[in-house]
Amino acid sequence: MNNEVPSYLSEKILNDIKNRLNPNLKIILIKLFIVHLITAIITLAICPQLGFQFFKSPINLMNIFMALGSHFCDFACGTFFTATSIFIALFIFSRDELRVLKNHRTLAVMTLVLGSIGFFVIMNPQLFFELSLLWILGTIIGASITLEIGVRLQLSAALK
Amino acid sequence: MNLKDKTSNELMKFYQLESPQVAYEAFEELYRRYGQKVFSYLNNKLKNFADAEDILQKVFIKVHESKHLYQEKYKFEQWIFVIAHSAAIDHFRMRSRQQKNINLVELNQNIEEFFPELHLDKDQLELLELKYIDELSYKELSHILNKSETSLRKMVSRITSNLRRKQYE
Repeated sequence: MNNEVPSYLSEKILNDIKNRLNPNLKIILIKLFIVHLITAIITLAICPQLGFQFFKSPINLMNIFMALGSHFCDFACGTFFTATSIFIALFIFSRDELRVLKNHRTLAVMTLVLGSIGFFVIMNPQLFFELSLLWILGTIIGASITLEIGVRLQLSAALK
Repeated sequence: MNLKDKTSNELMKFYQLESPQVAYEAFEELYRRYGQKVFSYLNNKLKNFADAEDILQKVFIKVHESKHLYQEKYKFEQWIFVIAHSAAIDHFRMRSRQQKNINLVELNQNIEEFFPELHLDKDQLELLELKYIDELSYKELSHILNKSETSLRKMVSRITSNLRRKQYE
């Protein structure tokens, strides 16, 4: 009996896995942006960023952050804003998508940060001059750390 | 990165955690090591080259989808052969289910062809299938169909005597 794997079959299997390991980056970034948009609307109710709040909620994180000073508030609010979106994305995206996201972390973080800044500036152009550097730093650090730790945990969850 | 001198367990770690490029190289090396072995196993078990090809693809897709479940304490070779074995069993089950459906369709067609005036409903056909194709006892039928053994005996007897009568008409 011929037991050799046909070469076309090996090629097909390898190509299939290659495609699964490399999902389209553009689609992943668009998905991430949509997740951030939805998550942002909810998180703004708990922690209004730069005065934006689409609906009120009994919880107000800003009051807690403000207790530690306005600089800390700027930084913590920014961190919370992007970290939450990445956290939600960790449960929505497939492991292969998360791996690609981690591999293009700068692009992923910039999608969230620049997307948010763009949105706030469109809503109120004056804000561009009032944006705090600490808030921007918070958004970058929040997104980067959550992405790094979260993806690593998701990919290796079963290794422990 | 030279992955040829890595153990299969180490390759699995790369496949699970590293960048898509490195993960693919690790998968390629794992496929090079085990693709042929798994294919030979499937081909010997299924005794059908085309089926073995289909199942080989399924096995490696399953390996990809379950890679996060692989644990270092398992030997990779054992793990992949467990997947291959399960895939082969699933294949046999699916084949047997398809065969049963074909038998049922054939049974239905034969009855309709030879006894067009004998209109059997779905329940009666199912009963005949379970009794004569799956060869279940009345006790087993009673559990499955939730009817008493006596009533099932009567139903089967009624259908078969109808069939017999029609046969001699």
